Amino acid sequence: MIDLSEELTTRLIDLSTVTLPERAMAHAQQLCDVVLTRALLHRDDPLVGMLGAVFDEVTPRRATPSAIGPTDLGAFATSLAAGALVDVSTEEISERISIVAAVAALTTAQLRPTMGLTLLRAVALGAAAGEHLASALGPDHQERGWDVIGSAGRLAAGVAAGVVLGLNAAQLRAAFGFTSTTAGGLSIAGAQLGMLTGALAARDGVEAALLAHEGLIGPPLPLEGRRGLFALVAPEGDPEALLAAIGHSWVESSAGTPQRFHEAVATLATGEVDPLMRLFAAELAAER
Amino acid sequence: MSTTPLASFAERLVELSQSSLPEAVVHETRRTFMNVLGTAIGASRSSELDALLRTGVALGGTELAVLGRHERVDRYYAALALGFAAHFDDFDDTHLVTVIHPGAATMAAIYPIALCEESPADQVLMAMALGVEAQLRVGLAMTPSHYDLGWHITGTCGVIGAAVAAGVLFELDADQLGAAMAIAAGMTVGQREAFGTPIKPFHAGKAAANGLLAASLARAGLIADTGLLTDDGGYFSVLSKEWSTQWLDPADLGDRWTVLDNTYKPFPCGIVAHPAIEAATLLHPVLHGRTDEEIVEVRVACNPLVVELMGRSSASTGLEARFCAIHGVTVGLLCGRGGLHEFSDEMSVDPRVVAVRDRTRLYPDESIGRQGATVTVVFADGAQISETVVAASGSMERPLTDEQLTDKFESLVAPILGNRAGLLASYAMELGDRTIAEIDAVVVGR
Repeated sequence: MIDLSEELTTRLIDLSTVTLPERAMAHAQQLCDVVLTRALLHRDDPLVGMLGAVFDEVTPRRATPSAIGPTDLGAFATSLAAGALVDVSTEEISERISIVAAVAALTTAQLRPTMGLTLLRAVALGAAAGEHLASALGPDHQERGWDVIGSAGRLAAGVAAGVVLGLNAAQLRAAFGFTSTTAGGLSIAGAQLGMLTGALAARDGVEAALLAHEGLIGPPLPLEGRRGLFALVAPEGDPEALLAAIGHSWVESSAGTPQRFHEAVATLATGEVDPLMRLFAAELAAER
Repeated sequence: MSTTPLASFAERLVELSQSSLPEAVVHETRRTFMNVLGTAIGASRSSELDALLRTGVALGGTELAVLGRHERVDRYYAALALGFAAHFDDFDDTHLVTVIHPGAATMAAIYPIALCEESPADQVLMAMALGVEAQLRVGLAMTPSHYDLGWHITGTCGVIGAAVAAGVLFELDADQLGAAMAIAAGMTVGQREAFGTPIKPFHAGKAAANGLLAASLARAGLIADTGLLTDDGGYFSVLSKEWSTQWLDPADLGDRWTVLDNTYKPFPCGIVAHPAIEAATLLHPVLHGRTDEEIVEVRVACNPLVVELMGRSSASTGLEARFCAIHGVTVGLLCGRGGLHEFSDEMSVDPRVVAVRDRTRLYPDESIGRQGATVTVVFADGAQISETVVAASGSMERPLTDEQLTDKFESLVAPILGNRAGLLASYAMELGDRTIAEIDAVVVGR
């Protein structure tokens, strides 16, 4: 019997150190552009504003500035994701999962100096893992009432954050434990709560990777175990399909319109993430 | 005008929050609070909590510190840390019908809010009582199907209780409280695959944090359809094969109180193994100087649930030992007790324990109730000694007395807080008259 979680984490870690297909990296770049641009454009959206205010209250800002200014990274992840997911009802599932992965990677990159290439790999791997998980969970998952962004999106965010943090395979498996057990969100909840589900998926993915990085462990079979993710939220899913797709199929770029940070994200292939986030912070400040 | 079961439930909860609690409910709520405060402090120096708090610090909040720790985190993470610690040693409380541990998530949601917003003492008591009540009723509505499917009901229902508790502190109106519970319905946490790992106590902590967040969102005006609990595709239908809304009946709510059915663990492990562990501790003095080598087999006749929930054949960590019934029986037999030390990492790999544990077998028997067990020790010379427990200590039939509960509290807290443990126990049992700020001042030694 295949140890899915072990195989999957080992493969993802292996892939995080090699050159990924150009199209996957281009899509990751485009996602970063889209996420930051939308977060900027939708900063005054009433719901984004409300979520931002609540997260500021529940997770107040700290005094130590990161590249984006004084912030709480949990609040940052949720705000960024909320802004990027405003149009949640009109977007493809795959795109929403990818956005959640990008938010998690961009957030985690605030914790330490991060090379742009690492960020892009993290986004590409997170997006791919999330999309393939969504497929493996199958239509039954959503038909039962689950919001796939809350399940596959969380795992995508955990993978993306984990790659930025440089987790090893055992740590990534622990992160899977946290993202699996927090998989939540109801598909009938509507657009507003759907946006919240995506925002929390991004935040929880970052948290899961950090908890694993700090040494907390989880069960050996978080995905395929008797009471793991598949058994509880998609018993008719196909766990092995997830493994078959990882590394063989990627979330690729459609010819999207370059957004506001198009030029800055282009530098990620050769530089650090920090200048991009400083530009984002400056643009945000200027708009205010 | 039509309404949903959740909307009516919320309306009744708000009504109750503005009335007085029956004396028995006040007393049991205080016992529940004291017990989980004790287990949280008892686990407050664990390396796993260290790791959890390092993550909270990395995420960046600085609002408050809890459990006498130096790390400052935001209130979301404070709730997470408190719930995690309270459930960490599996030594907290259990509502036996649902197997929910209701105290951890409820206390953990309340404590940081009450500290940050200086909540009045009586409101804190009310929040604790209604938070426990709401989550137990939601759990009862899905029992036994939900847990049997593989969900950790402490996390999946705890988030609802935490949302109610936080909502009561926020003085939400009925619409807002209904929205808080509906928002929380999409923030469930808890797969039983994680049992035996630090993710199990994380469920209680995350439930607390998410409940707090849900209530905060409702207070800010986020609207959620109260049909999200009971509609097709809603909370109940995704989490359970069978469920009933009778437990949400507003006429019943306040008429009977499920917190009165809460029990408190005498041993830090899964409750189904408690009868067998108690039987083993009773056999300890009867061993009459026999050596371990003389023990050929330890037979444990028990309810089949013991095998289902605690059937591990070995344990290499304290957390694994908490899900290994034969470990509990072995330490009960060899040590005559089953406290935190007997379920430590060290004892889980102790050669003497491992040797006898490897000769201990579970014999599931449908005719044995969940509160009973018989332990038989078979010696090499053919002699046998046996002890049967019909109703375990800590069960509904033999609940821990206030004195026993206080002893348990002090045994957990004194190693951390020294001679402040007694004062803290009395403050905890005065919840409703003492504020959380006063209680916290004893914890930190101000």
